Amino acid sequence: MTFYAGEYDCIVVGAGHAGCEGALAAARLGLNTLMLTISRDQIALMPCNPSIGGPAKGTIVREIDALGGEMAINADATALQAKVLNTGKGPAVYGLRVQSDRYAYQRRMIRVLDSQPGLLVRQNMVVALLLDENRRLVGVETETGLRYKGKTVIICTGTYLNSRIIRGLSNVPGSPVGQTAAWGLSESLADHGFAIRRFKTGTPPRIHKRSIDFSKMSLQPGDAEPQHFSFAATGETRRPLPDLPCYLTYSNQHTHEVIKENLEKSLFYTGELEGNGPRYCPSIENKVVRFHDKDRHQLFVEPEGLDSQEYYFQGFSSALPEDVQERFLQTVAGMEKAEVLRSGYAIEYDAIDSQVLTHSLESKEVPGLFFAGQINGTSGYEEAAAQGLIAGINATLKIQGREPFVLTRAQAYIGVLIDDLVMKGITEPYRMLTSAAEYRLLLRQDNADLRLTALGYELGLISEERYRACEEKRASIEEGKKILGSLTLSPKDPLLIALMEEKGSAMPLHGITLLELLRRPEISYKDLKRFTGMPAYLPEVEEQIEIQVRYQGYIEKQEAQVRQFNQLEKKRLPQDVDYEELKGLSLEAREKLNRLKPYSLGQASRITGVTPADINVLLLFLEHRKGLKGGGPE
Amino acid sequence: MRDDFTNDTIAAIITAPGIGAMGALRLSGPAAFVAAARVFRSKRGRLMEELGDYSLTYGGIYAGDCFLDQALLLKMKGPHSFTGEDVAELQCHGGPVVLGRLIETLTSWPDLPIRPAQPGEFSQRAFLNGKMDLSQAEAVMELVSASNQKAAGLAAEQIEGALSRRISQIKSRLLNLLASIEVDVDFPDEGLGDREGAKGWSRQLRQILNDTAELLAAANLGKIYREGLRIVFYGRPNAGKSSLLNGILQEPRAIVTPEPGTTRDTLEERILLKGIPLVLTDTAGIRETGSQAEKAGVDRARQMALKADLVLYIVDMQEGITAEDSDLLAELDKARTLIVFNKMDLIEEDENGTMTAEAMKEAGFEDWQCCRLSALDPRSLEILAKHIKSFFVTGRHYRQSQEILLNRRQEEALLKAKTALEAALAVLEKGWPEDMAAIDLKQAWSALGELTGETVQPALVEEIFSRFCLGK
Ligand SMILES: Nc1nc2c(ncn2[C@@H]2O[C@H](COP(=O)(O)OP(=O)(O)OP(=O)(O)O)[C@@H](O)[C@H]2O)c(=O)[nH]1
Ligand SMILES: [Mg+2]
Repeated sequence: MTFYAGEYDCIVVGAGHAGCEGALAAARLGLNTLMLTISRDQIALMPCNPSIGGPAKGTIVREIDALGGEMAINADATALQAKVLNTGKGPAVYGLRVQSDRYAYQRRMIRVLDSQPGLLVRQNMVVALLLDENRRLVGVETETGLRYKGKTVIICTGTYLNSRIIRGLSNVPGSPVGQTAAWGLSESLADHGFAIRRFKTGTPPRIHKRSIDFSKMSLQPGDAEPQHFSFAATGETRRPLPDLPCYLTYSNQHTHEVIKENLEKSLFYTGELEGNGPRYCPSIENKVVRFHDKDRHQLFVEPEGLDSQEYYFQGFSSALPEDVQERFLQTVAGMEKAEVLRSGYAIEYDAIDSQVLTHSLESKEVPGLFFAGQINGTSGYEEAAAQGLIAGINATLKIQGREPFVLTRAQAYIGVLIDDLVMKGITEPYRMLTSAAEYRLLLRQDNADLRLTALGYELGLISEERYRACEEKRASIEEGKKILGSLTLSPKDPLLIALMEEKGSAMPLHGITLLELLRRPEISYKDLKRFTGMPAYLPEVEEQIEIQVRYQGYIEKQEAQVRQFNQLEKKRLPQDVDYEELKGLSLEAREKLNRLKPYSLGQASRITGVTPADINVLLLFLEHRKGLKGGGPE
Repeated sequence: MRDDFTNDTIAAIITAPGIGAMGALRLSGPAAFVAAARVFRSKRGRLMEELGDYSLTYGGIYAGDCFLDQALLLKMKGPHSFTGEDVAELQCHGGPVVLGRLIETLTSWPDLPIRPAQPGEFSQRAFLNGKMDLSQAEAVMELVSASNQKAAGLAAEQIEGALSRRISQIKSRLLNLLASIEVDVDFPDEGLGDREGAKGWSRQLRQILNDTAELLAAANLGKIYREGLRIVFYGRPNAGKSSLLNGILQEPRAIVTPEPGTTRDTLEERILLKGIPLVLTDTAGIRETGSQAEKAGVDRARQMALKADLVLYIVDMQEGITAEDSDLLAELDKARTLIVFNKMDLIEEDENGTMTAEAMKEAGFEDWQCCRLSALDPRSLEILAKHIKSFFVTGRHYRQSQEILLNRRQEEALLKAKTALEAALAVLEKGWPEDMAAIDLKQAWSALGELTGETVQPALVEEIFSRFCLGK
């Protein structure tokens, strides 16, 4: 009989951003949880940019928070500065981004993990997934030969599986922290029938602070009134920020020339390596080649920590040899004397095909086995954390024998993300974009709590207190809108006349309610405070009232679209259909539908290669089948 | 039961009901040839298997042993047939009785179940078998119900994909614009968005709006071909409106008396004039009146005139252009009005038409289109026909060669797209957040997709096919 070192409800493999959320969710929901990591010093590491959030990503962070995850609180507690991007472009695309003290971020997360009851974080590398002869999940085996039994296993190995570091013409095994890559597990997964593919990403050089001439760059301070990710107002999440600034500089013709002259020194340009890299986060050499008509590119210089002398050079990711990197680096204004502390590199790693997963991130073939994070082909800390959280929740529900927790595209960015992964399928690292969310005006970062807190509470990840606070907020918003609608001003009101003049707003001809006034883009809630009877609320309540009233017309448009979306979503596709038999479908559609077996017409419509014409065929097919079942003409 | 739902064989009469010169019946499905063989016998005694895959054969049709009619059998093997399945068509002289017997026979065999086709089912199968896209399928319906050659030609063009092409041109422009906005939103750090920002976007958008409006205008002309040019006979009592209508129709359709106020209600007639389908409407003469019935008629006449594609404003030349005429004309759109000076037989006019010209000048309508005739003179018809045709062909609203045939659904979708584009333009011009414009633009995008079937709407597909007349 084999010896097992332990038996757990849930084993989480990897302690990156996905692993942390997965392990915390499982343990908080009562699972006896083991987390295994290559190195306890690398937990919650930010191997790339020291920042969290931005458009779409920031929304994900808030959704994680509303569902009871840790990322938002951890980011607030360790932020160096915060800034809302895209202001003026519409509330759906605002993106809060914070610069993080990456060391503090790690320290705090380790503390949270280690103080979580029911969770053990142990250093050991997992080299094999154990299944029994019927391909049922048994557990995992470590490098040192320890075997652990797990009712569920969540694999979140990030970019570590068989990873190789590429600089110039050198291509060696290695991980973001310079150690050897994780070996064994990929082969084990492949043995168990999981197709493995190679993805790549890259990172820029880190520069010593003392060697940067900041006077040649433009200062990029954080917002004067910094916002926070977490909806929970605690001392940690509402702490004053040190506001360590970032800086902006540009590449120039000279930089581009040096790069172009040395392209053949990159394995990616000699044709030796392909690796599916993220189109949305290209290396500087890719940018120079693809956008050859642009004479400069924006580059940001970002601090990595309060106690750190390292500066991250965003936009300058490169896989060219170190000497070339230094040469073109020094062509950039302010970087003439740059001392490189770590050079840029590209990293290649193993990922699985996310289409083998269900919407709960569970393997269709091996029940109880979940995958989350970059191994599923995504890029970014936020996308990884979101998947970890969903996998942790679903591992728990699985053990409890309950229905999986699945968010739809109309509910959350997380729903869009996972649906894209498992239905659409991806061919390059997936980054969450606002344009991927069809109903983004409804899925705003500002209303993530109103959308999801109740769900987090039902799951048991949100406290009674936070749930109550959220419901009170909702009630205040409704009350406020009602009051505003009931207060009418006369066009002769001197206060109104003064406000209209001040704002250059058209004088109303008749009486006007405060609600109607607020619809005008130039009028804010704050402007209305001069009128008697105006209620005063918490700033976030007033913000909600303002957004909901001002964009009501467009919000209603999107709600109508969601109703239409739901029509297709509600059309269930039977699981016993052999799509090969439907001659009207394209060949590609038949193959993919048979492989993915979507549950609804809506899901089917999002599979790449399934065209609208195919969907029309399916629609008619469903009608026809209904007719037959209903005893129609035979 | 197999899930393959096009596995059964269907049959239906595909010629219009009524006694035509020829009737035809279509069979489609795996058993089409076997079934046809049971009712058709080749003149030269050849068996069904011996006939070519794409062949026309002369012979007779039978119900059992009873000879029904002489017939041609058109055999088309799938997938290269209209439906993509095996198709057999039987064409005979026969009226409804013969074809009715034939259908009855075909659907009566317990050992070879053939089912009468649902409305639109042949096209539905063609669509399902990838033989045509949605707008093409719809065009088949237009073609079948086309009342004249021009409309049929337009429908045929649409089957070729003319509409889809125009729409996809607009869509690709729209996609460019949308992409530019989305990039700006998703990559604020990269500075990759449209460097001109909202201004550049507005310019692009105006261009797209123009194209859409042009397509709608072109569609208007297509609509006239399908539904007919609406011409309203309008003017004061006793001007000769009804007489002129009768003249064109060449039959005394409307009552004519020397008494003013003869016509009380509107009267509609359709006619094909030089290949142009016309819908002619005679109306009550306009005047102040105490009679309730006449008043109602006058109101109705006014409304018809405002909705018309072309108003024939009839003037009794014995009286010239009176003050009332001037008032009525002033309410009309110059581009859609032809002033008809009637009863020219009763006055002395020189060849240059000096009198009528003077009258127009005096009343201030000298640059309006006009013609002179006498409703009682058959040659007048020629004069009027020429004017109507020239109005139709060179009319300012309509440019030839860009005609597009849209049905109501398609027109609505196009209008929806236009409205959404206008909303987006307003957002950009008012300096509102670009994300709102993106919502409108996406709406326009999906409305355009509805036209070609790229935007899927569950109810739509079923509805479209059920609107086909039976058998098509
Ligand atoms: N000589 C002559 N008589 C005409 C001509 N056109 C119409 N008339 C006569 O004018 C009278 C009125 O003609 P209608 O056609 O009834 O006139 P209308 O405009 O329809 O009149 P309402 O229906 O009353 O509005 C009839 O007696 C016609 O015979 C014409 O060109 N020449
Ligand atoms: Mg009359």
